[in-house]
Amino acid sequence: MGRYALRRLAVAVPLALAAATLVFALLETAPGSPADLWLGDRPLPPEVRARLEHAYGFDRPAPERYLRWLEAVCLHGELGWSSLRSMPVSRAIGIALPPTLLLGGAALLIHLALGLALGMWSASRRRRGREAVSLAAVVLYALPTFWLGLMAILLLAVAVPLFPPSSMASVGAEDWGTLRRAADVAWHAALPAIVLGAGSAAGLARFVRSGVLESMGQEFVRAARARGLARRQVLRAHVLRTALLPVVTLLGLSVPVLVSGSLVVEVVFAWPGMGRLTYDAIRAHDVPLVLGATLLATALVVVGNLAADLATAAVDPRVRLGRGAGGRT
Amino acid sequence: MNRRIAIGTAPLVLLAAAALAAPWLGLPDPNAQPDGLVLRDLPPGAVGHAFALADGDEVWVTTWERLPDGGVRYRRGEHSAVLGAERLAGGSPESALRTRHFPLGTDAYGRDLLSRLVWGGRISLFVGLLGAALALAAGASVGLAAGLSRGRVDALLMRGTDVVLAIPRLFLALLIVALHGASLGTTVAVLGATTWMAAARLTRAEVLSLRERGFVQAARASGAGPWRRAWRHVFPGAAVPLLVEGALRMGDTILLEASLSFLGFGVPPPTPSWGNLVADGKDRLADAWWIATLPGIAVALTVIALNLVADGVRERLGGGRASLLGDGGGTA
Repeated sequence: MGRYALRRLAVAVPLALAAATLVFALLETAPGSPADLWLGDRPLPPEVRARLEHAYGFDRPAPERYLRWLEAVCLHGELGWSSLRSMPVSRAIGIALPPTLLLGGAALLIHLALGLALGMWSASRRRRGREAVSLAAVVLYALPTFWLGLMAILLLAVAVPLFPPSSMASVGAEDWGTLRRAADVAWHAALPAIVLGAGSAAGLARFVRSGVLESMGQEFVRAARARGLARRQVLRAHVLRTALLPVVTLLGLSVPVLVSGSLVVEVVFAWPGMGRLTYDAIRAHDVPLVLGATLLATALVVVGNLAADLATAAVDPRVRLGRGAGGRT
Repeated sequence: MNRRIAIGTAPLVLLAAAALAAPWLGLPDPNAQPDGLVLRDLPPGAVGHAFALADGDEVWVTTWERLPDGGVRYRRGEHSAVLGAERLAGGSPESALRTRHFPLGTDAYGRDLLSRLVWGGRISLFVGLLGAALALAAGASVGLAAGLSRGRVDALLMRGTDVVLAIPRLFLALLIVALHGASLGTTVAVLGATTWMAAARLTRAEVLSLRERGFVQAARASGAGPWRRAWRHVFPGAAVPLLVEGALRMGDTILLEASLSFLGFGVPPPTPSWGNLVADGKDRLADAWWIATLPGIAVALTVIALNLVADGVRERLGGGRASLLGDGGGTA
């Protein structure tokens, strides 16, 4: 397991570095000088501007700036100054990250629970269930996330006011007790998390279904049945365990979808997280903040994939011993 | 004819025809705001009334009644006034009255939503098609180069593909827009730049399996050079999967364009696109639900139709990736 983890890490770290390099290269394609990007269009006296440019090395050639930037980002976590929030980018992100992780975590749970339930139900239904889940998958995929969010607000917050339409806490919630405040946040998180999680759940259900159907036809299932185990028991102990392996990998693959989706959902529901911050940053031309958010989003994806790989390896010895199989693609 | 192709093609042909023929459908200018007060937020099916004046102007009215002297008393919002018969075009209310139907209603500026939906579809479909074509061309080139060269170049190209995939698509798209500014051109470029990776992987896989096949080996044995083998023998074999990929990708680019435009970083307003239309309606949900609802349904219909067609083609001609509709196995 240790060796496998090291091997995956040896892939993940260069991947993250290469992604950061690509982002830096993108910056170089922007019109204007690097100083314009980093200092923004704040009115500064020319001599102050020149001094800043020199102090931060904006007048150096691109390779040198790249190395200095990489050093600042990787070794010091220094992402620059956010003109929008008037604080270091790292602090602005630090404030916005917990709400996003909360929302993303809740969405991931909903995604998983709904995907498993739908997938298992449709596997037991044969053709009809199969078609229903396929249809639900394509319809949910085709409906834009922001539109689903607006419709959820329209139906469940405006027409039938069951949930709050936006933000993360009720007015005056600061004075409430911990438990009541937690309940308040959960109540506010319900709609955005459902929209974010349910959108892709039908896609997951398809994989669960094909996994279940595939492993039901395998020898060990027939053997278990032949030994006299009840159908339900076989399903739980034998079929599900094998069918769920690819699902773990798939959860890793759905992290980028959730990260991108959370940007839109946070804007629609005015959720004070990373997505909302990125949106505000672009509107305010706060390039360092957009950059920091993009790097963090990338890091989330790389870590998510790594975690999924390791989790798959932890439950499937075939993977960590390097014999392939196990539904990994 | 395959059932899926038939069901999927019908709405696509309809939407494409409407988009292409938009200038000749007799629709009002999608950006015209004849009267921001009287015509704002009209529900679907509403009828607007206006009186043409003798001096060539026109007055849009909320309600009106005929006066005994042949003039008209009308109301505009809170304000009410009288028009004498002599000021009406033709000299009577009947000759001066103009009615206009708004089958899908109007938005907050009194713009006709049917017209905006059709013209918006023109933009959204066009941008989506261009973006998908760009993604397909770029992806196929990368995949072809990787699959044919193998070895180091292959490894480099495919790791590069992994790198782009590691950056969440919307963040990558927004970063490019933040650096270069939102415009129609940027939108198309962003769509292509963020969606080519699937086509690259697919093409490479096809090439790897095709190059071992008998007919490619035979071409090699008969002295065909690498370029000729790639163009005449390998590429046609990968054409069907690429076509299917193209249809799926176009659904993707249309969705991405809608998201970008909705956020305000795609097609710049007032040019209508489906994403822009939803954005127009997002703050008016409680008062005018139809503004945001209909364009979202148009997007979904298009994407579902594209998936159906892709699936039908795949089923009929074989090869290519299963869409979400397909019964394919558990490979992503």
